[in-house]
Amino acid sequence: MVGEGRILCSLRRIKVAPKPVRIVAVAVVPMILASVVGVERWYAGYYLNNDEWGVSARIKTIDPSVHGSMLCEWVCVILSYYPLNWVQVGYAKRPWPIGRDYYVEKNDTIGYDRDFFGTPAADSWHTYNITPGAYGEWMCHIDGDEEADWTTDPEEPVDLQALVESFDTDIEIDGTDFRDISYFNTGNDHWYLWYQCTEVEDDPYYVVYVYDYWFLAWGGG
Amino acid sequence: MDSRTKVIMCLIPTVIVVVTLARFPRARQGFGPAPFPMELAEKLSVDQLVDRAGDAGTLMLPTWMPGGIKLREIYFKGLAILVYSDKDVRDYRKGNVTIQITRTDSSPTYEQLQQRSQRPSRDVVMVRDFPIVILEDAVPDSDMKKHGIWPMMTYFWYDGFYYIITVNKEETTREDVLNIVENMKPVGPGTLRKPTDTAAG
Repeated sequence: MVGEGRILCSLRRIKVAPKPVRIVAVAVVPMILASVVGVERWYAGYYLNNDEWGVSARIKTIDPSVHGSMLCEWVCVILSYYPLNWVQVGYAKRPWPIGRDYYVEKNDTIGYDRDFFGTPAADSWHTYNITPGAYGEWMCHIDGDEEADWTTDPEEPVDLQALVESFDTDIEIDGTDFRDISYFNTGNDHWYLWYQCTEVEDDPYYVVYVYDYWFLAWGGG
Repeated sequence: MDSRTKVIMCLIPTVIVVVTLARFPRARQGFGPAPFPMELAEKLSVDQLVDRAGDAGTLMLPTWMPGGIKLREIYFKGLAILVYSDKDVRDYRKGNVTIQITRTDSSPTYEQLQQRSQRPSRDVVMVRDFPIVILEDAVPDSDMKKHGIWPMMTYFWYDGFYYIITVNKEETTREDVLNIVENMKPVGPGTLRKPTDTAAG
């Protein structure tokens, strides 16, 4: 009861506080708590585990129920694993009413940037790629259209990834299909299929290896 | 309405908001790639790392670290991640000094590095005969923010290899970092090794 009394006293203080203070208290406290709680993520797909420049893949759009959480499928250039710096392009399935979006994203030593746009249709195939330009320049394309152009620092890749990223194991990723996973050869400006890969599959998700440049994934739910 | 009911009525919306936001913190921070796969990587000795490097160039490793910092682990999976710490830790995100090394064909000059991405917290300096970039205020990633780590990042290219050195700037100074790079040398008797390694690896 002593505890309850203290809580009521605190609530009364909030109640008599000016409205902006109350709004901030209600909005900020949960956010701080949420950031402390954190969130787990589960991955399925391939790392290249080599420092090629640029990445591309054809990805089938799946449309599972995300149970109030989120699912993303993407290709990514890793600029550093510590701190984690990257450039990424793909699509996300977010909770109603937001739905499916294409997105581009980067995080480097300068800062973070992201943009959502468009809506890929369920079961449609799209080609996502990240192409190097001049030193430190990365261009994100979806089906050949340039959607972002960033100059990053650091500028040189250390790895490439093509992955499904789930924020809740209740999300089923059956039907995931990544094909023609490629890297960019800056010597002749051509794309080449991956020649090696390391599979990552966080339980309850599984990867079906087809080739070094093609995988399917399933599980969850 | 009694006091218990009032407390419950006030707490319910807060709990709903907390639970909802807890499910989407990454939605606010953005999506992220997977971390380096430590569990799938080989754990090498210094000499095994030199073997993996092959004839790509001259691999340099530290011969000096500040304080009681020692080499604790070398992970290799395409790129190498070396973990240096004054404690017995193996996780590259928990060491005092982390070095990422990959092969490279690049070799930018001092002038080229100076022209790129000019901003106050980015500095290009010569160490011995090669240029290095020092980012004293690199933006921490979400994991670093969670653990209160403020990174200082240094990167450079030298004879076929690309190096990224990351430290927590609240523990390690710019002078320390410059000393680390200054004392990076081709692998030899002076190279810092894991306590479990023999000189022959």
